[in-house]
Amino acid sequence: MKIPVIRKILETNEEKSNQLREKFDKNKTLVLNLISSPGAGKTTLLERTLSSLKSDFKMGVIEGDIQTTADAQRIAKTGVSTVQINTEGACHLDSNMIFAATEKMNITDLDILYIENVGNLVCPAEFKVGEDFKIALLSIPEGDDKPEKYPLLFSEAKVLLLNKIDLLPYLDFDVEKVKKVVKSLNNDIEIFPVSAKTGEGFDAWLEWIKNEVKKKKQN
Amino acid sequence: MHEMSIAQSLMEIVKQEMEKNNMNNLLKVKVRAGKINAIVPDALQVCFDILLQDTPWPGAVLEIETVPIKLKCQKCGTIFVPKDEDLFPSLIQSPCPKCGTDFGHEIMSGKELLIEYIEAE
Repeated sequence: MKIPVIRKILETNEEKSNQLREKFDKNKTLVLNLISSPGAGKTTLLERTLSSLKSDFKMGVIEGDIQTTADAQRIAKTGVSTVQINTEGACHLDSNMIFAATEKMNITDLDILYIENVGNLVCPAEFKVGEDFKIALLSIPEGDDKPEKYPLLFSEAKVLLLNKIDLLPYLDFDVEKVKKVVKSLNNDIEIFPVSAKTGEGFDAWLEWIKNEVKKKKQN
Repeated sequence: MHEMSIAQSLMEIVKQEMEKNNMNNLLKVKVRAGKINAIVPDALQVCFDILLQDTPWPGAVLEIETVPIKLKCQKCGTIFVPKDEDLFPSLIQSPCPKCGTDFGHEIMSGKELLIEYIEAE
């Protein structure tokens, strides 16, 4: 016999994500899910962000990688508490993994929790992990056609960081074209051109974070 | 390769539904996958088949229906299905057949990822 079901296949992940979100909301922790291709500069961006905000906020990081603890070790040098998740092959983090990671760290007094997703422009955009916002990174050497080719992430992100702008003089990357395409996919997105290496453009990004922490505390 | 995670979630739901409806033998699972999810049907099929081997019904069939993208023009409101050749370079930037606007359309369908029914006895 035929049994109608009509259920979302990823509903278990969504339910878990909602439970995580409730937990984070209760603690008034702002949770940012960082997503980009491998090598776009997520870890370098985090290092500079953490160092700049260390005296203002209590922060934590969940590091997702297929293998190695190299990134967690880099983050640990900033003095911020870090938990490494090794997905052993999986190309994205999901809510179950984040649940397990939050049990290994004290999250109750965090102002900000950063989740550095596995480097991948496709799959992480589909799996919610209890975040307030998805933060997309696109680095200049990747090329200005990526938002058109991988629209899901850019249509769901709250912020787009165009990283490695110190390389703009050497590469054919049309910043205005990217802004136009991304805005057409997602009119509410904020776009900050930055260089995590030199710190250029960082003030606007840090301002945005401070403002969102404030909003989260008021809720 | 997000297909394995999707296959695992799918299997979890199938097992729940089999138990809930007191079924013994699973014959078929029907899934609807929107084109924007970028699911490769063959890959999902392979992952699901692997998981089936650990169940009492290794011979069950998975049918995947790909749901086309339907867009609503942001300017004139026309609802249209973009032609395949218009889907490049992007899935959701396609010219509206009425007014030609090619950016920022609302996605009416093509994002869903659902299990529609199971056939069992």
